[in-house]
Amino acid sequence: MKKLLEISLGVVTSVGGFLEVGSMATAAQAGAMFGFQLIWAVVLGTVCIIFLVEMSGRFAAVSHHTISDGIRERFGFNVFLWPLLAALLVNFLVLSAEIGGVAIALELATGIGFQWWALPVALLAWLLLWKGTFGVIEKGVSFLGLVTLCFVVGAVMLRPDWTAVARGAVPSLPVHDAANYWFMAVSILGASISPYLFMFYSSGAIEDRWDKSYLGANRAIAGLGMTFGGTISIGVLIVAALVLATHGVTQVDDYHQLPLMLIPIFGFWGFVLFVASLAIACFGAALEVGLQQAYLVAQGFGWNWGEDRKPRDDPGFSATYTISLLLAAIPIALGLDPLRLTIFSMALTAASLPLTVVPFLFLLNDKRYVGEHRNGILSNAAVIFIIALGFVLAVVTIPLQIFGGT
Amino acid sequence: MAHQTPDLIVSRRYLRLDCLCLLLLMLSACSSSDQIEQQSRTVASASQTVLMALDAWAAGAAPTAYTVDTLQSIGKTLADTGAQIRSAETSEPTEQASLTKAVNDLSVAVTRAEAGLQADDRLKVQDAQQDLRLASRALATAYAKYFAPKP
Amino acid sequence: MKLLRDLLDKQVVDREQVKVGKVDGLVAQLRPGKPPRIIAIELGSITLARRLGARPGRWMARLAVKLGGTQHGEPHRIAWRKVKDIGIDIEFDIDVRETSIFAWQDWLRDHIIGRIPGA
Repeated sequence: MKKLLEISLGVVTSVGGFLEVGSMATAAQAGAMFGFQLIWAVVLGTVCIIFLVEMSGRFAAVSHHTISDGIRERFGFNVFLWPLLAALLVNFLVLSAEIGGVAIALELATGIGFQWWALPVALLAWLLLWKGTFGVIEKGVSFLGLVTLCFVVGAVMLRPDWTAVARGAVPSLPVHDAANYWFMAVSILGASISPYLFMFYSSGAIEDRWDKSYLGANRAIAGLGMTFGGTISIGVLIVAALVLATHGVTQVDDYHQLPLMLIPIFGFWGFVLFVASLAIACFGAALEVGLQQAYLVAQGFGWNWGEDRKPRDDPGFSATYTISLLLAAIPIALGLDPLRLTIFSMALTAASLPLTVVPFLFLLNDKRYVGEHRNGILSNAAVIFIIALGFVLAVVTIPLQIFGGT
Repeated sequence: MAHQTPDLIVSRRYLRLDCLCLLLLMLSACSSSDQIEQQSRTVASASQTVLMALDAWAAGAAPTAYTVDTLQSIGKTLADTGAQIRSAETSEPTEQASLTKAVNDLSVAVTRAEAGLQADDRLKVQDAQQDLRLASRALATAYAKYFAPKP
Repeated sequence: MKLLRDLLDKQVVDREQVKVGKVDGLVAQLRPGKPPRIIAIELGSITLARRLGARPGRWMARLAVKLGGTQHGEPHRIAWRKVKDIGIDIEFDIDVRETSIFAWQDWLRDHIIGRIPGA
């Protein structure tokens, strides 16, 4: 019974982590421009993140190391430096985008420009990290995140052609706008396979004192939670395809367009639900990414860390999330468009994947860490596939970004 | 085959397309007609956004502040994209002119709708919506002519 | 025991299980005709910077002296004979409060973190 409760809590928590400004924005763009055709990218991304999250949880439960601890210890400091810097940079951009997402929601609700909200949002997130415990953050904010289920409800209410939806789950070549099609596929994958998600998950497993008895729960949480999150993303995509595209709105380049998705379905409540979903999902993600920055640094250098401790007991740890939140609020406060920043950071996340995922291949096959709970053929094949995918995405997206893609 | 004019830099979507052209050396048709095609579609999508937002407002489903902000933001996109269409080099100046006119009409209608919203004048907003519909139809016609096979 | 593999970069804790840092470096004594013997571990930013190269090491040492005074110009060392247990973490029979390893964290607490309400 207790395990069942743990699992359901874990599932809800991972939904909170999965759905954030990146997956919402990329799914909306893809649905508006390509109908159901890019559903496969959400499905593929979800399958990949299930494998990575399961491995992170298993690694933490068996070896009592977080993923960052493991990378540092197994490969040494000089190698660890690269994934560390890549993850810090990508997380910084994602954190900024999430703060931007909350700020947009507040702008939509109040009419006061988003840049004015960046610092208050960062301050509120900081206050929760400063005073709250891991349980409060993990569970409280994630429960509120269930409001995003309104996208799934909306998608079902629109009575989509389910065979067409299923066809979209199979990859196909674009018939128009090939470049945009692939760029969106990359952004969706980046939004689904977020390094902060699996790194945060392994820290959470240590914070919750997981041991080998949690291996079954871990598998259930990774599988169900991420599938749940992916389903909501697909809901967003279906709603965008059936509401925006059928009204002739094919290009979602402006965040003002986003609430229009739910209004034709729910009327004024659609507007409210959209604003609430965006605000809560992004705020939850901002808390997790902010915390993950501090975990990463503290674990990498061996400082004390733990969200349940008082800030004065781990000054280094709490200083790191304080500075991270403050820095990440700056681009938004200066008026950088959050939607553009989101799409940019999702593509960059995809490109950074090889650096953070290659270590999995070694750590999860090393008997000294995971003993008999080593990766099977399937898990190893998944890791190799994700590395290859990330490598291809890096080759495609880095030039695109340098030359001025979003 | 790929080319960059200053106005391209303004349109990030187009640049993105352009880079892939360079990168993959696959899309061979990166000509100015592509530019106008892309921009016309941006305009069409933008004008439908405005219509949706106004419908939502009229139904009492969208707050006025939000609707005004949306119109302002989309109006800016329309103005920028219109300028790009106007200055693009093309072999079909007549069609280009009718596209430009349609975009101009859209911009004017959006400004009027915005004024109507701010004055809470439903009739004026309805009028502007009517103009928007006409102008987006004109845009569609001009667009179809632009890409019709030429003898 | 393979020293580099089994010791380097492991978590170091003191006798109260407080996380002190990672094993950033090892100090070994070369003995003619016999295998080298570990006499201490090193930790801190200077050791880490030295692992990146001689020049970053010198820069970091200079920076540490500038920020913390001459007593911080050398890496922190813990004598190997203080080792108590090697498991997931390496436990040393020391109390980190009696060392200068946490000097910067103490500074941070006293001057910044501790002054913010609710810390």
